[in-house]
Amino acid sequence: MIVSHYSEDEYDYLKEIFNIAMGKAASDLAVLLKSFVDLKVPDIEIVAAENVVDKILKGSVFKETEIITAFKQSFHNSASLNGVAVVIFDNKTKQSLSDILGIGDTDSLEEIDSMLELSNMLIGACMNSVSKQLFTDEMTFYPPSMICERQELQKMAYDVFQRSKLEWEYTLLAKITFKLKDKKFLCDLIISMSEEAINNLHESISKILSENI
Amino acid sequence: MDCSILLVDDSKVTRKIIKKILNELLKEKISSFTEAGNGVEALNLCRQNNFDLMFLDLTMPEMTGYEFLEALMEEGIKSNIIVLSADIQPEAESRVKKLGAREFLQKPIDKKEAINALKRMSIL
Repeated sequence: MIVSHYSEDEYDYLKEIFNIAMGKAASDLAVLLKSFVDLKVPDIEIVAAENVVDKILKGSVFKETEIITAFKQSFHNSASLNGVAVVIFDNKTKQSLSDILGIGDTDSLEEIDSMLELSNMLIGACMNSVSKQLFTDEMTFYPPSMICERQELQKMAYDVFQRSKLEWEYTLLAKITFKLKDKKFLCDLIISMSEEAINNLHESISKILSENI
Repeated sequence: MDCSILLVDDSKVTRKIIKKILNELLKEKISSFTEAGNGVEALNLCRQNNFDLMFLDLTMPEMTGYEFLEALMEEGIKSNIIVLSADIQPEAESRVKKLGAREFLQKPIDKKEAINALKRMSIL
């Protein structure tokens, strides 16, 4: 599929859309965990399929050899905005979650359940915001699932994002880091969207910009 | 009133949208627009100029809006600051107001909200 070319303004606006979506997800996280999220500018880029693993490893807040636990969830809306989101937690965050959530001693299954719920919340808040800003309707989500537990980041990246696993020639890759100011909580949210989504986002952004600037 | 305005946002498109809205609302009251893409650029501009009104983003590279407000406070630079941000955490508004911002608006900018903020600040 031919992928739309984004002008400088269109690409800038796309980043703002994800910035606003990140803000919504951070607000939900801050309320749930009674803390404050230190936000950084999200990374957004259209990436050729063969470069996705490299981009994820270089852009992650975690080292390639960091032991992580990761979850994924697919999504789509009526405007064919579809893709997959992955949330990555490091081991320190996994181990301190029961303290952060104030739920006392937890076993490994409960830790995983908590991370699954947090992943669902972050992905839901973020992608619903993107969808509502541009298409007015909400996303439909498939149930989230665990990709790996206590595995090196690079292994997870190759298992999920290596060229042979991807259906698209190009993907819109977004990376957002959530770090709590006063607690041991760190995670990356990675969003990979289809070529059809890239084109539909482009069409919508182009229309909005022509009406507003 | 001749109003000099500083727009601080890493998004050029957002600066264009704010500018368009302010041109509609304040028309001939505006004496100048100056733009900055991050807190460092904005701070340098504030050291050399007095701005009557600022629109300030919070999540920016180099220096965030929070850090910029702290720097202004440390250097005793005062202005009418409207924070316009995607950072809508409950603590965000109280934090920026403690750091000297007068108004807090959520992105994307809503014209009615901007009008209300400017009226509360007696600029409109």
